[in-house]
Amino acid sequence: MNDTSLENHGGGGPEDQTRLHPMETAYLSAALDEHAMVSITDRRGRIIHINDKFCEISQYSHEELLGQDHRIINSGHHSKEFMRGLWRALAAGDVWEGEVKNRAKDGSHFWVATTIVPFPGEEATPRQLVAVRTDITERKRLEKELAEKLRLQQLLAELSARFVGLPPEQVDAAIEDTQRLIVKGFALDRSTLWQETDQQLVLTHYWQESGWPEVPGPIAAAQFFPWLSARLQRGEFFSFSSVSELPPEAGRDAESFRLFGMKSHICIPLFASGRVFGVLSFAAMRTERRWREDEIAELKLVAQIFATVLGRKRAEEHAEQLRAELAHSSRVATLGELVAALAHELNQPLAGILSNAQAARRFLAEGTVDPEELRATFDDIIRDDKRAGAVIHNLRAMLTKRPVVRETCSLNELVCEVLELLHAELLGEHVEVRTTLASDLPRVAAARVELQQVLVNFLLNAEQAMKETPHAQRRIDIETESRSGNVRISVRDHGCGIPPERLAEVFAPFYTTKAHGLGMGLCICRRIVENHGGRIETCNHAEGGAIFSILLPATE
Amino acid sequence: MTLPAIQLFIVDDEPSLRTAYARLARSAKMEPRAFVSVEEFMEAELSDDKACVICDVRMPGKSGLELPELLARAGRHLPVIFVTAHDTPETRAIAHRVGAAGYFSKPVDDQALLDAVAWALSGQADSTQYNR
Repeated sequence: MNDTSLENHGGGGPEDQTRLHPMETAYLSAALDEHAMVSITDRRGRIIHINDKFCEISQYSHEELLGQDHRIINSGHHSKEFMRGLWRALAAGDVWEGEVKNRAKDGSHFWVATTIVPFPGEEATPRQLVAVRTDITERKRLEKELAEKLRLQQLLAELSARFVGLPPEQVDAAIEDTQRLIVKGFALDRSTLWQETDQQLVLTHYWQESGWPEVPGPIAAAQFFPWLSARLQRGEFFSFSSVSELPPEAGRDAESFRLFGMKSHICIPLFASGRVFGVLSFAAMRTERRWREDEIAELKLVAQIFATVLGRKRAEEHAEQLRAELAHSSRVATLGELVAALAHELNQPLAGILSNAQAARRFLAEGTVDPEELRATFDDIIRDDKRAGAVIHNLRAMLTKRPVVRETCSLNELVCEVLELLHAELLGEHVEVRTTLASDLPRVAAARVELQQVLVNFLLNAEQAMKETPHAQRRIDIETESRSGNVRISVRDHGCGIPPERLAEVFAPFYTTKAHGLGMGLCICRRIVENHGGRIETCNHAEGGAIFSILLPATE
Repeated sequence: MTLPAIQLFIVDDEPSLRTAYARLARSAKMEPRAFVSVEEFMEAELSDDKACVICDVRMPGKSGLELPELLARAGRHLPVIFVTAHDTPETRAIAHRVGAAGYFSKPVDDQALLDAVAWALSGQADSTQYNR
């Protein structure tokens, strides 16, 4: 310490009577040493004095610090601008005050409220810097905790709103993001969400701090956690701070928790429509931790929100699956009506192949074979065989239950394919088909098989509608056209039309004009068309008969 | 010495089948003539001597099943053998009733079909001959 510098600093003060006696200065210095870390550096920034408090908190000895500059305790936490601001103030002879994060010898960090006072030398640069630092590490920790707590509170408050109206495809990501925020906010290590599928708990969502082994996929919960599963099945919540808290009858569970490295754990059942369908769990894996009542209440709230969202999603998926099955069975039923036609379609090429092959064999046996005739015969056999193959291929595509793929396709081609399929059927019913296909029709993105199904339905309906029409007048007009960015296809029959009062309900489930059949056909058609972003319509033609049409957005 | 060849009239709307049957007929030393419909067949100027018809059932225009009656009304005596891809008990029963000389479902074996033609022309055929 240098008395003159203190005097210089205080010199010229208004109250000369406050000038301290040397004894009081010594007391003041001692009191300061008790309260704060004090250091003095020379003009080159080297430490020339430090007090015991500095050594105690920084964990360095006097010898290690003297002659060093302050970079020895630099944590690297602060920005360059922050440090530049500090030096600019000091160079200008101003006192600098601020909160600084430093690093102790063992690598741990401490926060200090710092005041640095420059004492001017002969030139512009300060001769000495006196720094007084107060340890505020605890206060900083509390502040941070409070900020996290507030952030968590805000997260929880907004959680419900976050999931309202969230598109189903974003739900999974939003749940895992929430899990991440909670694990961070509660200083945990892992959150997992399991849902029951085929009596197994399958991991569907999780987030964990890095460094932990991957969570196993589906686990036989009853095998690893028999006691806990039974509790969860009953809808009971469970938590423990230490595995040792588990009751003796949960021995198997305790073993599993130790095996998977979970020290403290919380498990909340997820309910949908009154039954447990899964479980949300949080785990601390580094150290054991207590679960406070307010934390438990918050996590239960999170579980409730997740359960609502997932329950809704599960219900939707279930409904979608039912719809797919219904569509499939309707396709099968439609095909049932088509079996005769399909048998015809297959038997034609088979008949051609057989007769051609047998004729060729006869020519060969007679020794009268004309090579040109033989070549033509084989060409015909190959063509007929390919035709039979195509029928089988279409049949398989229509019957398969696998999800349909969208592709760019031409409605004109689709019309031709369906007419090929129904050729024999329509012929058998004496139905004439007239097509007016637009030559420059834009293509559409569609699941070919589904649109085929719609057209097959339209055509079979048209055929059915003309059951009472004299043979000569049985006609279906198919038309495709381009309409300002859309593609329209219409199918008109020359039957009795649809009673005007029933036009509105044609696409409703179970509406049918047929004596037999489920009446699901047109309802499914509407769903298919709407799934394609299109519209399905029906009306009566002024000159008789009904028109069914679909409008689909063009891709080009 | 050459006997006049048997004429085989083929009535089928399917071009590939007309070609195939015609080939089969030629391979058996018959003279084929093909028609796309019952109407076309009925309008054609034909000699019915040593002739037999193999006829499809489902076709645009008149059904093949109407052919025996049309022939009878025209005073023609031609055996008609049906070959159909649409084999049902009803079709079978009607074919029997209208006096078919044979009834086959597609695909039909060459020997069975040629035997049926030979039987029909030997006068021994009646509508009891039914093959699948």
